[in-house]
Amino acid sequence: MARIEVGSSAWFLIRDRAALISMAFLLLIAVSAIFAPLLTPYAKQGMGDPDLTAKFKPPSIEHPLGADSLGRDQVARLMFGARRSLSMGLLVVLIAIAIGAPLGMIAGYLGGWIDEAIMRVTDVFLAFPPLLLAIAIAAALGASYINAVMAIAVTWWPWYARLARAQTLSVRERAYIEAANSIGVRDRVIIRRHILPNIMTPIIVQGTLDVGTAILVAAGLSFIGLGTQAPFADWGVMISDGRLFFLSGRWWLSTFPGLAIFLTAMAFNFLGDGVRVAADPRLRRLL
Amino acid sequence: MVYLSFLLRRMGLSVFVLVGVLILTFIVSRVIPSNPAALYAGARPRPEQVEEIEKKLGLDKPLTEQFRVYLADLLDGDLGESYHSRRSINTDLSIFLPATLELVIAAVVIALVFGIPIGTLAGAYPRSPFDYATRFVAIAGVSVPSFWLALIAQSVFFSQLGWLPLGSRISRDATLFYPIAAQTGFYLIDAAISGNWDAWFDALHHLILPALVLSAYPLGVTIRMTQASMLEVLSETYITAARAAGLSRPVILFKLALKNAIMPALTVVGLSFAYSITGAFLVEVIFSWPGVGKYVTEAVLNVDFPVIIAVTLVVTVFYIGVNLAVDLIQALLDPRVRLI
Amino acid sequence: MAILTVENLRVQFKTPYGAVYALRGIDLALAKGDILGLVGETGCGKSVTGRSIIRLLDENAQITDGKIIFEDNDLLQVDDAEMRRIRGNRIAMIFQDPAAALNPLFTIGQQINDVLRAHASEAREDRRNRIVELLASVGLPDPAQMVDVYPHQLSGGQQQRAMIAQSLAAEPDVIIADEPTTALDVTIQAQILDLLRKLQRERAISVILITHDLGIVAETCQHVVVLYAGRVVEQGSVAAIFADPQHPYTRGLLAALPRPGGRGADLKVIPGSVPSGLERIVGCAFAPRCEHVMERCRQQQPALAEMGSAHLSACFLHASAQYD
Repeated sequence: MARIEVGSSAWFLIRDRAALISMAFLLLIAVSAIFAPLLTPYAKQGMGDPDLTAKFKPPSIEHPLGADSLGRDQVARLMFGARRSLSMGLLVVLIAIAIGAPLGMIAGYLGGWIDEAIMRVTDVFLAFPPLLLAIAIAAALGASYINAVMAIAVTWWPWYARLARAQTLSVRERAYIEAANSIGVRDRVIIRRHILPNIMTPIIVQGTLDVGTAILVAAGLSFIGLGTQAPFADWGVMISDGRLFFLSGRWWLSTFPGLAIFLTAMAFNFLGDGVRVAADPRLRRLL
Repeated sequence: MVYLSFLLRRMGLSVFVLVGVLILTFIVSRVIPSNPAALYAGARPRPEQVEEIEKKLGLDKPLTEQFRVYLADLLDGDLGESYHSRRSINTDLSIFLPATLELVIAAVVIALVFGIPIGTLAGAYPRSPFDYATRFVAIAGVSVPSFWLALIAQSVFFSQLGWLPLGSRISRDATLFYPIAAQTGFYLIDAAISGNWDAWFDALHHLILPALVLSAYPLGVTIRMTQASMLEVLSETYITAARAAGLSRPVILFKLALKNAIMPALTVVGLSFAYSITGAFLVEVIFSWPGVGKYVTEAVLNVDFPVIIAVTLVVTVFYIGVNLAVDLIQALLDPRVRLI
Repeated sequence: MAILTVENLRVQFKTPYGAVYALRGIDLALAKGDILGLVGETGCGKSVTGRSIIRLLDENAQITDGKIIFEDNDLLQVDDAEMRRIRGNRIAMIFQDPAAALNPLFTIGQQINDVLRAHASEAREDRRNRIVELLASVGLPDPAQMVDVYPHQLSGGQQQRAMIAQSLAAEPDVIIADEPTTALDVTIQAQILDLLRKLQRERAISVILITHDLGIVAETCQHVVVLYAGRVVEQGSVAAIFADPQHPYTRGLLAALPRPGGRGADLKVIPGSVPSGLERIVGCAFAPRCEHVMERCRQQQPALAEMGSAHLSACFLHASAQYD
């Protein structure tokens, strides 16, 4: 039965055209980010070198998406920006999972005052509107790429703690854990062997959905100057850089990085939705 | 469940969270920074300025004593002073907060008024073209960077079409010739109270575009949550029972199922508020909207740390209040909850 | 005179694993004023049969063949608007779990009122009296107060009475009761069954009682249809079938029934389980679990054959003479 489940989940994901297109798009973005130095003749400009002869060049064959206020090729900037934006989104989610999932499992597994304490701490963190606490922490740490990532991750882990706790609670009572307990298996082994595999699916689903949102939030921090610093740029910085010239006819400056964020976040959302439906037989019936 | 005990427990939790928020902001402002005094003194401070701040904040004293002073100031209602403008943050916020709230409330209203019916219909007709279109719109709404959407909206509705103003809360003409008498700080309310309809329409004209842009994210969330809730409700036995009793489809959808679906969907009010606030921080900059968002982002540029912390605290307290109100109202509407 | 007949009803479900054949040609007839028991284990097609009659199957279900004749009309042919007028009005349904079947956010009165508004033409002020009458007729205490009560304020038995009151609102001719007592305590079960019998007697309502419990059938029904894997294996009067069960499956079900004075150890359980409906069934569906299985059972499907007056059974074992 288990084999049928996995097989049909994969089948469902592939049949979900939106998820499939999203996966292809994200793969394209990832490849162009990873191999950016090989794929563009303007690699130096991608990393910040100006070329004042090309200042504000509109889209042309030479610069398909135009050039910015320092004459840098926008395609190269976008490709190198993808490295920052994508990695920010992924890092935020991975760090948040790394903090939140263990705490949630401990809370759910041990219960009692430890559970109570961890959950009340998550309450406090989630009491802040998203982004606001991240702005304060990023400002306290000082503006930089890695500080922005840390600041967002620190505000994000409670979601995973709650998710992991809820899953752990539902798994904990199952008979096989009782059995494992009775023959003297240690808690650590139980968590690793029995609980961890069971909470992975919902965490992966949530993580996929969250990468898109994390990219948005990171772009927001960069937009107000708390993220990636010059001469490097992520997509949020590029929108911010282009904004002053945007209404005076240099539309290509902010339009493309914005589209890049928009489409990437959408792709993660469609993919996450697809994974969620595919992993949940009950939802499959409803949708 | 008894309402009174729920009320007390829920309020107790809010107080607890409030204390936690105070502690956390204290940690962010005094413990995380390597040199809090330098941060509080602003960009490129002179050494004697830093010293002065150190003394004023009591940074030489133990953290517990610092926290006591920090709390005492807050309990006095003193949020401190902006490094950059040297103005009292209390005064600044009394102007900026109503501006942001007016914008945020408009966005929340738009999100709910459109999101709930659209989500309901999409949930009622799963796998229909309308459902697919709605799902696309909802995902687009939560994926679009609000500050970028703001730029695009400006270029379309101001530059290209010329239908709506570029930004700010009110036109210069209005401030000069028919100024709004400030009472609540909400322009639409103040103008309406004094019967200043020219100014009222002017303010509305300025509010439309930022509010629409800001509503994109909460609209997406509202649609998704109502749709999911409706889908869930429609698979319940009592809906099958209603169909088996021969009730018509409109009655089942809009009278029975909607009431059941709306209950969990009420949570989106709190969420919409949160997301609109978040969006406002970025969107206000683009629309030159004189609210706390613009205030904070300028504070970030000027390294005006006291302002950032004060806004974080005040807006969070507001948000806690909204969530508390939503929970209490939600419980009040549920017949399964007894009042006493 | 049959008020409702089902002929050769076939239903299949589309699932990710392929088509599931839920009903494989069901025939049954409900006599006017009768209580007909529909029995079998979980998954044999009882509920699907009930849901098919009022056309409320899940979306992935498909009725591939058959007729459901109600007063000279084939219910599978009438349009949706007509079907809506029949549901609740002519054929009503009672569900297994009344707590789930009543809407938690509306009062009992509001829910019955909705049914009255959909089917009856009484004036608004008369409707309230009518609701109180209905609640009184199903034996709810303080019916005048019950109108404004929410489902969660009632006990399980009271909820099922309220559900029955709702199903009676438009004075239907047929009630399909899908395991109406399974979710209730044993003492309450008996009361609800008494109520059903009383209504059937007093209002001349015909009832299809879907249950997995032959004990309930013995107490309540006049006729019984035994289903197995989407087919009728035995049917007849309750007296005939309980006195002289013919099909090995019916015998198995009866042997599994606790008897007064009997000890738990005497209960026999039929080994194995109902086929899932996914695999194609050749021969008799019960053959893999049957203690009397013969070579022929695995190749050929036995048809229903007359066992006595109004008693049919589908088995080669006892009826071999009639098949040759």
